[in-house]
Amino acid sequence: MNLSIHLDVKRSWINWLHHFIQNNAQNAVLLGATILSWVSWFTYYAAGHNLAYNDAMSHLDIARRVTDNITPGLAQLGSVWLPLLHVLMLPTIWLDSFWQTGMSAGLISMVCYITTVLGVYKTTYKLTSNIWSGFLASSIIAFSTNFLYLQTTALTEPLFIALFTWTMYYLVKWQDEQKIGQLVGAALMVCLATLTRYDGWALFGMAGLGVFSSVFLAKWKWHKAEGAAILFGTLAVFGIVLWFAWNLTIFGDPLYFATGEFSAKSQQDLLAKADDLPTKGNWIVSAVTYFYAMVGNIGIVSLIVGSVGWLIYMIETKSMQKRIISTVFLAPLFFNVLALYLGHSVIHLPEIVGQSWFNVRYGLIVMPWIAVFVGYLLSHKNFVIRTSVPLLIGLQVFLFFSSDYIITLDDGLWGSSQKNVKTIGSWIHNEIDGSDKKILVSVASHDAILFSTGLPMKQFIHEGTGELWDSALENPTSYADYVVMRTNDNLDLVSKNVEESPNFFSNYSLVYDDEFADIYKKNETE
Amino acid sequence: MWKTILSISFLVIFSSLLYLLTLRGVPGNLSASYINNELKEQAQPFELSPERGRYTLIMAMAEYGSFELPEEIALIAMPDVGYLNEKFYTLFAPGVSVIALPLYLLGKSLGLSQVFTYAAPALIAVFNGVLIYLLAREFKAKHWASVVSALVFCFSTISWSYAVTLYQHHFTVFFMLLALYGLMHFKKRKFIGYSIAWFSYAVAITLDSPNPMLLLPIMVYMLSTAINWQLVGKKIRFNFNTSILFTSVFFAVIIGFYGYYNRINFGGWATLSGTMPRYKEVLELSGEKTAEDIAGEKTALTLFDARRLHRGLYTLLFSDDRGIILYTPVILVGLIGLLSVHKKYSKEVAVVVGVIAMSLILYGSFGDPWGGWAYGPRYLIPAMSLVSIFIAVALTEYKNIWIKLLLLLAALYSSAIALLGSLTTNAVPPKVEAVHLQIPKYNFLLNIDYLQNDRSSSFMYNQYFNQWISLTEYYEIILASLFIVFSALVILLPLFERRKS
Repeated sequence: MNLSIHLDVKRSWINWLHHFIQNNAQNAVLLGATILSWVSWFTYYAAGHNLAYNDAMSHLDIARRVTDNITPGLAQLGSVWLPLLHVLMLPTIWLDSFWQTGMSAGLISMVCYITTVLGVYKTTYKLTSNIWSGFLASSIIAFSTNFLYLQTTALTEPLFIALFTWTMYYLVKWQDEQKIGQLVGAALMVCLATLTRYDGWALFGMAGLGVFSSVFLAKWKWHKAEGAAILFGTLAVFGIVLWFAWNLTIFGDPLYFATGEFSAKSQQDLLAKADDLPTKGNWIVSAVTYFYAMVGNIGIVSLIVGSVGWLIYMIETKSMQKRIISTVFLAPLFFNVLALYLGHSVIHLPEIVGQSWFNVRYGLIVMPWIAVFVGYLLSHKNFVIRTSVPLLIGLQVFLFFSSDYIITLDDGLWGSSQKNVKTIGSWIHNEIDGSDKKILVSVASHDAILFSTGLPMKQFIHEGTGELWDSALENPTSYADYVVMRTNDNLDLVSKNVEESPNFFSNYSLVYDDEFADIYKKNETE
Repeated sequence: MWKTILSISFLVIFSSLLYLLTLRGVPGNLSASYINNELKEQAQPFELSPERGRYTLIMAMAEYGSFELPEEIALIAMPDVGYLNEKFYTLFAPGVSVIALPLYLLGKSLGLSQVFTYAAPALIAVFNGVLIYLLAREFKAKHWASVVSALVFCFSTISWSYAVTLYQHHFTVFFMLLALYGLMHFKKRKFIGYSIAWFSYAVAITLDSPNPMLLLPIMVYMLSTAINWQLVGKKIRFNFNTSILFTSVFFAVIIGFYGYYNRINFGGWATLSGTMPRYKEVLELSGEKTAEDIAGEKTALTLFDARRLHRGLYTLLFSDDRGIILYTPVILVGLIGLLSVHKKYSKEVAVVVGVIAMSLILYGSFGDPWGGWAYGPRYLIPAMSLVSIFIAVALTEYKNIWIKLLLLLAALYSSAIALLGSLTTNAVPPKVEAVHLQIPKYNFLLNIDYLQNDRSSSFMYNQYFNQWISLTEYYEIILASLFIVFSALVILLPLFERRKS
């Protein structure tokens, strides 16, 4: 007994369908990513989670102070962080709603998320000529619970991930087609990346070496390799040169960003003194820490599958040039492990230091590399590999969603990256709103409080107000109606200085205190 | 044909003998109070909650005709018993208990209710050995190699410890292998193959919560066999075998009954017993929440958490308290066989890889990859059964003496570990708990102490042999006979075959 039914379909229709999918795949990816991005933004905005990170509020304030400050100007971009994200926020940060909702940076991060999804699709498709590989790879990015969260925040990671992805894309294209325009495109992406995060500087180094050695080993002509490296390098290094020049011009020291009192190194030195930097000087702990950061962000299964995909690509690819270029994609991985080893970076994870999170999001940066090579495996000639990969990745993604596992959100809500200063911010807002009273406060310690008050930055005297800051520290009574500081804390510049000021405590009264700061109000003169 | 009959007969007889020698139990028709007071210590039949939980359901069904547990029976399983609407329930899926119920009733009539009940997984384990043999033959492995595969799974893996007591693992393995065999063997009579697969899948779902996902690759494989395409002129013809739909009635009926069981007892068709609040949790409620509130919070999905996956994988694969590498390294030989046929049988190998991946990921993300106090990585038993099929393939493909010696050595070590657990106890703490409780040993080293102190759970040893020989001697005799059989199969039979040809 034949229980089969059949359906006859014209081959021309199948061909049409195939071409339709082929021609619209990118649009579908873009549309899907856009929908996910907006849904995610509204979800996290409604819960207030897009502003959970202390650093997110700081980034918004830094950009805001360029336009809204006692001494506005580009110098407010400072040297603590590389400036690209803040510069990109300038067109919208002056709008109070965009500043306070975080939308000014949110828009940028969302665009970065969407372009990352697209970039990973295009890179994978370029490597494999297989749209399904591209779909799978871009899905890993699109459905990453951690990236979906981070793309709502004012942090530098989404911007860097996008630039890193497009660097990968242009380099992959260039290795195949050898067009100068593609090399220039890669160099431009690297230049922008060097102005976003210091991971970009490592990307610059590795990409430059990669460009030189891939041309040299392919053609065995020194001058061709030199030419390609110079073309790439002069554009790519521009961001780094600009940053040195900026530091020299504004702060008098080209290395102020690395050695200044507000630099990451200074902060890490404090942690090292408190024995809170377990990775410093220890390669194994550094590597293990970053491994767990990657696992927490991407998932152990995706990490293993992507790494295996990369290894298989390296083995099966006959082209030395392609191998070298694909090694460049490991730049963020090498940089982060090195930074941990040198003590220039810190990551806290429950697996290493107990129930604590800090900077766990750094592990997300390698995700484009992993995604591309997972996609590569889907186009492999081996049937078992082709069928196993979607199953494994599907399970991993499903688990992330079903168990609501968003380690970057955990860090923002409960880890050391969070700073829930809403209460103190509301108090200040209610106390001062509508008046022109001035508040003396250190943004290095309390930028999140400034943000949460919602008050114009003009009302704050801080490190970025130049001589007014120095004068106010020396004689707060003449300048500041309120002083916000952590009393008896030498790390708080206001506390460190004003407590030496004569009669401070007789001129000011404590009117509010909580775990984050104390607020002193100038006594009314009769 | 005669080789098949001879091989299966040998498997059945030899396996039955070894399982009989290691079956856990005490004589008599046991009362609830006797079990509760006398048989819950280590190296006794009711040492752990999985066997207690399932046995209590059997007793409730047999003695009271009910799925809810009367209090005196519920006490056996305390504190791992569910509590809802002022009634006690087992936290385990009912399938194992329902299947073992006839043997309980038979045993009860002979004054051996518990022994016969525990013989149910042993009987299923024998069938599993036969299925592994048959599946290895589907991959064109030689008869002797296929027998080796079956024996490796049954007696060189920790599945042995769970064949002699009332756990779900062998039942899951049986229906998984049955589904796969049905689909592979009945390629020309797909109606039969689909019927077996649907039936097996449905029953497997009633055995344990992760089984719907665990067996999903097999069902996807089934679907792939129902669809094919061919070029017909300027058209593409897609063929769909509708018997896959008709035979799904087996699935629908069994799942319908299971859903009804959940609905009646727990309030929802898809509400599983494992999501019931534990009696202990209910006692600790301060009044803000009720037991029903807690029941509503838990779903099957909350059992799995991505946060735990990397630790879980490490635990299952490499750890020194549960790692498969430590307990059952012989399985690695199966991976060699898997690699050798992945091109020729790509679909079937993909299914096997899929089930292994499901096992690792689901149980790795489970709250308790250790399986509680357990012997070895018990959650990987289904994966072990599949990989062991390919040991036969490896032995057939590679006639190299070194592969055989490697297998023999690995099998000897693995069998020694497996027998240790089956003769003594499964109640081995995870390392984290052992450290906390200051128990110095947390793997099979603990079982060696039991062996040396003659503490066995074996019904046959305790009833008939303990007066004549020590447990260590009993252990050595069984292990020696196993090793002799392995050696004969791996070294001698191939020689005999070669001379004949």
